[in-house]
Amino acid sequence: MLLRDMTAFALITLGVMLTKFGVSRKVVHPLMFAQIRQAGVRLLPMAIFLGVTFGLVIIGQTVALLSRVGAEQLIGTVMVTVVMRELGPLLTAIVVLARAGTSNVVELGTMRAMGEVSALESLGIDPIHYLVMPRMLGLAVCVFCLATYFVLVAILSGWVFAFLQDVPIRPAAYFGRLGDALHWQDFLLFGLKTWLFGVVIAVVSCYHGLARPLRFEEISAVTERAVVEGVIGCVLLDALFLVGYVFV
Amino acid sequence: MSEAAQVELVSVDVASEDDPGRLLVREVTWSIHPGEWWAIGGGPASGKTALLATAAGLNPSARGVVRIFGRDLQRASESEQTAWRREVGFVFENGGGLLGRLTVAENVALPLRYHSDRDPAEVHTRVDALLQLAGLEGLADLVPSQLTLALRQRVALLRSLALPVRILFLDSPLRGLAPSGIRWWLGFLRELRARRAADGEALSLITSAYDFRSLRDDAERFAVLENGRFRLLAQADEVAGYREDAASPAQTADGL
Repeated sequence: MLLRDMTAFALITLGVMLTKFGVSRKVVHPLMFAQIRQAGVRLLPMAIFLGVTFGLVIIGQTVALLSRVGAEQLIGTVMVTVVMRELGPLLTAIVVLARAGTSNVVELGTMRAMGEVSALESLGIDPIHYLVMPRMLGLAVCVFCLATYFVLVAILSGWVFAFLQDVPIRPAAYFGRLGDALHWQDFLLFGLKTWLFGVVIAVVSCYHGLARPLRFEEISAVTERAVVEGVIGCVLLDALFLVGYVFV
Repeated sequence: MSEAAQVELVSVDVASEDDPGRLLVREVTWSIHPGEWWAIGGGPASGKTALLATAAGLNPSARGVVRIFGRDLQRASESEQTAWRREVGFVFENGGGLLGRLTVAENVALPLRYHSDRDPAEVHTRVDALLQLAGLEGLADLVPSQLTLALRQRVALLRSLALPVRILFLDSPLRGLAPSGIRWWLGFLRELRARRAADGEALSLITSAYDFRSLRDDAERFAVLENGRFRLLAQADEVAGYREDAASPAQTADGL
């Protein structure tokens, strides 16, 4: 039931995007950039911090361990699999969900409870066009960009950790193995996955904030539900991509 | 009335906006003609807001036919409905539903900017003119949370007037106002209507109220919601004798 409603909500939003992308662009497009600022630019330090930590703790240790057992040739494969395919996009999506997704549910839920959404409708302004479309596009761009920064920073800091640990691997060899392990499909699926994570976060948060009449006292419970469903949605999507990787 | 009705409700059952399964008013048959000033009375939770929203095409009816400018709402395309929306204004109760993140001026400018490609200077001029009309030019840069509910509703009125409205629904605009506030609203609406009439554009006003004391001299048509029914008041003594507590919340259609 919930999945059906959310799918319908996502399809309606997609329809609005296709038919109204260029409508009232002077009003709607700045809202998209505002979403990118709020969920992307402001989250960049957090993504970089997580990337550095992840690189030092996970990648650095993995590189050191693989070098110690003489399995340096696996460094590239391990990093592409762990950082680029799995944990990079998923961790970024969870951070964006926690920060921007929750704030979207609270903001839209408050708007709904305050009668602002009905007021928009009364002015002939489609709430999906004015409120959901900018968030969906903005979040898709944000998750993609933040995940890219996260992966780059994690890879760099991983090498720094390995260097500090006196692991006998030169930068050229480190990045060369990484390059050897990367295929064009990895870039394609990375882009697709991060964009879709952004879409899942937007759909879940906007659906819970907007799709039904809300009272103020319901907003906190709805936000909790949105976070749980957002995490489940992203993990399920990740699992679907795993199937995709197997076939690609 | 010789002119065609702008809004027609035929045997309409009005449902709650929050709970579409709960009927508030049954069997409403009502026509609004150009230039009429309606006052709709009813006690708390009698369904005034839901009735106005249904007549304005914002709240789907549970049963019956709603026609706006002669077109059945259920059969109208999205583009038709968007076109209506520019001509059917609605000022909500409790602060008018102003967008909390926008300033007063941005709120008033929003429908202009959304529906037209006017350049910013032109929008600015129009917004200034509207704010001056209501004496609110000094509040242009404030956000709604810095205003009282009464002032917010005035800003919401100006926001509706930014579009070329032909029908204006006002949900309890006089509720809880001091006499000076009531005088302002009635004076503003009177003047607005007169100005539109002088320009050859009849403006219809539909005002909900808890009682008719303030509206008796200005409104021309009266109706009340009692016991989940819509009842037209034809006689002056009926209007004068109407009391807001005639129908209790428990006596809505569901309770019948």
